[in-house]
Amino acid sequence: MTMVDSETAVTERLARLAAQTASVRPSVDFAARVMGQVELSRGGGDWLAQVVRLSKLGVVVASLAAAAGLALAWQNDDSADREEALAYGVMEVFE
Amino acid sequence: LPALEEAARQVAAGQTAAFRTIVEACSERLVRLGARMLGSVTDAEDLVQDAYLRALRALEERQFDGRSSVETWLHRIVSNLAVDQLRARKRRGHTVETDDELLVDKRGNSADTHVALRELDEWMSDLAAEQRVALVLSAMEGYSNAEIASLLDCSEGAVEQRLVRARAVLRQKRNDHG
Repeated sequence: MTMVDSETAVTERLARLAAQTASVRPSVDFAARVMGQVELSRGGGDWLAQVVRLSKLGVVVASLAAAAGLALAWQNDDSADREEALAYGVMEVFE
Repeated sequence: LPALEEAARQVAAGQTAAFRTIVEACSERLVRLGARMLGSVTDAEDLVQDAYLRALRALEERQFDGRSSVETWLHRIVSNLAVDQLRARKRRGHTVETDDELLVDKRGNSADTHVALRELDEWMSDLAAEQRVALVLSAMEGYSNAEIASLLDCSEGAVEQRLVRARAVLRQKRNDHG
């Protein structure tokens, strides 16, 4: 068989299969199923968005709490230093 | 199809229900395209459903720029998903089981249609995913090389090369099997 014959055979087979598959159609309820999936993805999307929103809020609250804790620790540390210095002065007077 | 463009605008504006217009107008062509690429109506329906969900997200995020028609854009999404699926199939060594489809088809597709899809799938099984998709778009869907290049986001030269190689593989297969 020559290359031209083979090429013609390939072209003819493609044309035949195109004709035989021209009537392929989806299920009658396909559009309804797709829209059902759309609804489902909407629900899932909302749920996911809510989780993300709550997570962001959680990060903000945790950051604020950490900052407040740090400020409190710094304040306590400062007053402890002052008390220590005062005690040290008292010790010096006694000596 | 101005109705589709209008529906796309409505979806982008938040009216998700308008998406049904697009689904009802495009499904037959898209499922046929997917079935020819994958060799199975069931696989094609799953693929097209996935394509629709991606399209909806893109419309809502205003990623559809309207440079092509909505239907051409959907063909692009389906074609690229088909390439991904055919590649994955090759990795897994998956073959389509159309016997089940023959038994349970409630779509009104004839047994001859399923036999033809199986023949197509087996015949094209040696082609690379990109070659197969390009050949279906060209020889069965009637797209020009320039249109295929746009759909698959590659050059016309690359499309030409894929088609030449695909045909060479099919010619060789024919010669080998007599």
